[in-house]
Amino acid sequence: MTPLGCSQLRDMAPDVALGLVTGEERAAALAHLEGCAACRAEVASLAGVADELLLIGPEAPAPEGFDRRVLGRLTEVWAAEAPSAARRQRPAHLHRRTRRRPDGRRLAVGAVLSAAAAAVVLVAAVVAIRDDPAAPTEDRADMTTGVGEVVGTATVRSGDPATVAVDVPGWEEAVPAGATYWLAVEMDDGSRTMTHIGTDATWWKVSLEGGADEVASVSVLDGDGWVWCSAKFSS
Amino acid sequence: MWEVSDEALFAGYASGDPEAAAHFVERFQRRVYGLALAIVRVPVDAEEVAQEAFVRAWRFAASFDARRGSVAAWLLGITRNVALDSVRGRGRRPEPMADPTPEIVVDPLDVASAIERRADARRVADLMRSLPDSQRRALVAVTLWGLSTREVSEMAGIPQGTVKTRVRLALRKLRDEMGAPIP
Repeated sequence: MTPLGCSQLRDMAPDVALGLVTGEERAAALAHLEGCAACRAEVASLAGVADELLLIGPEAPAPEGFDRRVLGRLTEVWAAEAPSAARRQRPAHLHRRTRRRPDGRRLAVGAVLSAAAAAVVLVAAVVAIRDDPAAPTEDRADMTTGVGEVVGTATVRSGDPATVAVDVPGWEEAVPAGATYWLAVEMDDGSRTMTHIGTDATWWKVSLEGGADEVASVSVLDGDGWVWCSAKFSS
Repeated sequence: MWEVSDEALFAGYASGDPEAAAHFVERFQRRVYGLALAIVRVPVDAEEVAQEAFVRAWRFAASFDARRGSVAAWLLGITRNVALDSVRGRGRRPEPMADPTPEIVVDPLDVASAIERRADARRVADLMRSLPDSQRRALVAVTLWGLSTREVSEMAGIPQGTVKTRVRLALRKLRDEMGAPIP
């Protein structure tokens, strides 16, 4: 496929923002957007307008019991993803204003989260001791799609060996089950290591041959080599 | 006590507070389900889409940026994406529930009625009214109804290229009128 230039991308930017492109066109657009901040901003601005347009969309009464079923499903997700939830960051620019009630459900969720947080701390301590007794350094960057949506986090940790950990919550539901994906780590010298990753997990960790400060970018690619999301690291 | 802003309520939802989650779902379920139904057109599928949209909103809560738009717009954007994935996964869907008259894919009166109930929609509604009728209809068809440009082309009896041009012009004009985005 011929790489897209900026003028071509600008022409099709509304189509990309609205999700009107074919898979091949989308892959070509994402490949261009990965390395072009100006075009990323163009598509992101149009996508924001497209979202705002939805405010005048239709509404309809949800089926009886809908809210109960949603909350039931959320409760299952909270329980299943508690470790990830304990690590998650709060939404940008938001401050908690809702009152925390000491009722049974709240305490149950809180207990799970607290236990999960403790487990994360413990695991982190074990990894740190095993990887590098001399207090490893850590560098994080958001994993973003071509249109700027943050879908996860990449963490590069120094040590012997240095490691890259990638966390993409919701990954297993965002991609086709069983499809082939790769985790690509590109170093400053242009070399790239590829690690096959499954669709049934949301967290992966790979060891590096080079140093942590030599990592240029971390990407998740599909089986055809197109970038699904990526994170860049400054040298 | 739940007369809080959408953003404050979302903060509670994002933190996994069951009480905030109940109120968040209650506040937005009509819009989320309504949009899902407009796109997938099958009630049981629409419910699945709407449920998934609420779950994804919790999962990706950290990516919400209030500088870039409202909670409602962000949540509905997720809903639209899930609905389109659902439609594409099935390969086909029933005929639109809207007026089958060529090119009229949504009744402007219905939109106007909905706007009256929503303060957060007034700005974009006013801008939509400033668009040429043909552009407005094309844009509504691909966003709110989730139609492809090919589907709009077939329904309206006009070339697909014309539909694409109308959609592109309309979206760019709205963006330009709304002002520069946050980089």
